[in-house]
Amino acid sequence: MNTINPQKVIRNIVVYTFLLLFIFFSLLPLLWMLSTSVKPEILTREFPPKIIPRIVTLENYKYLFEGSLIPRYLFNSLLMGFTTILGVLFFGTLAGYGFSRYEFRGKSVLLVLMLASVMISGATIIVPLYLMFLRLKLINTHFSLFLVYVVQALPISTWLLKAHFDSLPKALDEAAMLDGCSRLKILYQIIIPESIPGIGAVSLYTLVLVWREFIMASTFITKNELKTLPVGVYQFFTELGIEWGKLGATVMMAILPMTILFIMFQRHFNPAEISSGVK
Amino acid sequence: MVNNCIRTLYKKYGKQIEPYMFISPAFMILGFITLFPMIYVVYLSLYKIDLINPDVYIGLKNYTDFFRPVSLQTVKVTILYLLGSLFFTMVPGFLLALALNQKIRFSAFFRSISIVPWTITAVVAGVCWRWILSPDIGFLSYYIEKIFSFRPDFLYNPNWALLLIIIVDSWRSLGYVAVFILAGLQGIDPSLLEAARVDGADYRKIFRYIMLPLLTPSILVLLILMSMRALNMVDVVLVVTGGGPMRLTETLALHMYKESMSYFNIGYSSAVAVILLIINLVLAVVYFRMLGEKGGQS
Repeated sequence: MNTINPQKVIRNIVVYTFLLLFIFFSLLPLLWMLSTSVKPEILTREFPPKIIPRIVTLENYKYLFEGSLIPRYLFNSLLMGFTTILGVLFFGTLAGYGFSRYEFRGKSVLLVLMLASVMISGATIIVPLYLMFLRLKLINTHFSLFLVYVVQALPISTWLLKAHFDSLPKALDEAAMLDGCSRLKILYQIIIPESIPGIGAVSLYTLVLVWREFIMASTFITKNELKTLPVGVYQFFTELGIEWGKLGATVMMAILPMTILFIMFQRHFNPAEISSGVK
Repeated sequence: MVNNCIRTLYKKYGKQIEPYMFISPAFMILGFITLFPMIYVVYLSLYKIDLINPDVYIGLKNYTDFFRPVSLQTVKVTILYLLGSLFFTMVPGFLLALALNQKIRFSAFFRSISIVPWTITAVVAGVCWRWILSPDIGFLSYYIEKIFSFRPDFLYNPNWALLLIIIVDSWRSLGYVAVFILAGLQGIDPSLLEAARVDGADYRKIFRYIMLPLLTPSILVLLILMSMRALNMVDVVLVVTGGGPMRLTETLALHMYKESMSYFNIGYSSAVAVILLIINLVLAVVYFRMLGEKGGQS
């Protein structure tokens, strides 16, 4: 019974061709950037263009680390990422616990309101936020970005954390309360250590969100040494757009850390969960 | 005395207040960053604002200003962009999900690669595509010309420029859409598919009569999400074309952004923001209705 089913063969060919085409489409711009980033500057404008570099050099990367602000931008992006994660976890675990463990008036409305407020506000709050931050003297501070990023990541993080807390039995809380633990102690010493996968998913989601954000960062931050990586790349492109080799190296710096991290952890990532918070 | 008073009050009402104490920090920061600016932008839209003199109330003038050719042009661009972006993300994304759902080798690898562009910032995506499709030095343009013997002008022809925005946009979100739909596909009870197969249904029939109806709710939810994303997209358009050439690829969201950040028409820009806000509100209501129905079914 080991006959080859022609229909199946055709289907496999179609599926693999489609997938390979798609991979080609996904990776082509990145491979081109990678190739340019290791070319000497003179060869980047070679015509016809060659994707396999004839001479490989690391001078562009050397320049980035020794003669540019890119390490600073990288540091700022990481700083924003980690502080935002801490902020999201602080507000998110409290709210997630409240929503998970209590029944109270307005609970379902508040849950929807949380998600809806960020969805509805969308891009429309950039200008009023700018004016608010201007009055509060928060323009050109990382704190303004911190506030915005925490709020952008908070609703879905709270929903996710609530779902994770829901999966832990309430008997856990009740037993601890009989032992005289306060609610906060229960949250921080029992519930959170039991929800590490949830905490991880929320952190990864928040990190990606902060890492790729551009418009708020470029609006609220104009001081060079405070800029995040996407803004730095954009500046590079508008100012030194002709130095392709260096631009390519910058682009690689802007994508590699997150790409590697994401590929490592992407099994835990489900966009359906993340966009609606529903498990 | 006071301590005692608080203690008795807490004993009486504590149980009721407790949950609100847990959720209030989140709602405070949320209110400050989303709710307050939304109200503030409605206020701003009714005033003439230059940040030096006091604000002057001018009623609906900012809104009537919207009915100029420049602004109406952005509505047309937004609709074209929205339709193009939905088409070029949803259709290939759906096909990709079907392909990833097959029993194939390296499926985890394909899935990983497909989601990578989603983690990449709009600036990088924009810079990469602008460069490889640049009419004079682009690496891809060169091969397009070799194969089709014609070179599309992605920078100075408004139609091609809009297409470039859509390409960048779908490049970034295709994988996300695919993995979203894939999650729905994998949620379908395999015994249902097996039963159909035993009854002699081929793949096309199974797809048409079992998979598609079961997927429809999550596809509709995704459509709303992607529409909201496209309507509020500032960064991709800003980076890829900046609204040019001649403001012919300026979407509503970018129009709003540039009017305040480049031309300092804060009042007018806020009126545009309020229009966008209303569209968002309508879409969000539809979204939560659907989500409610979807949740009710399962």
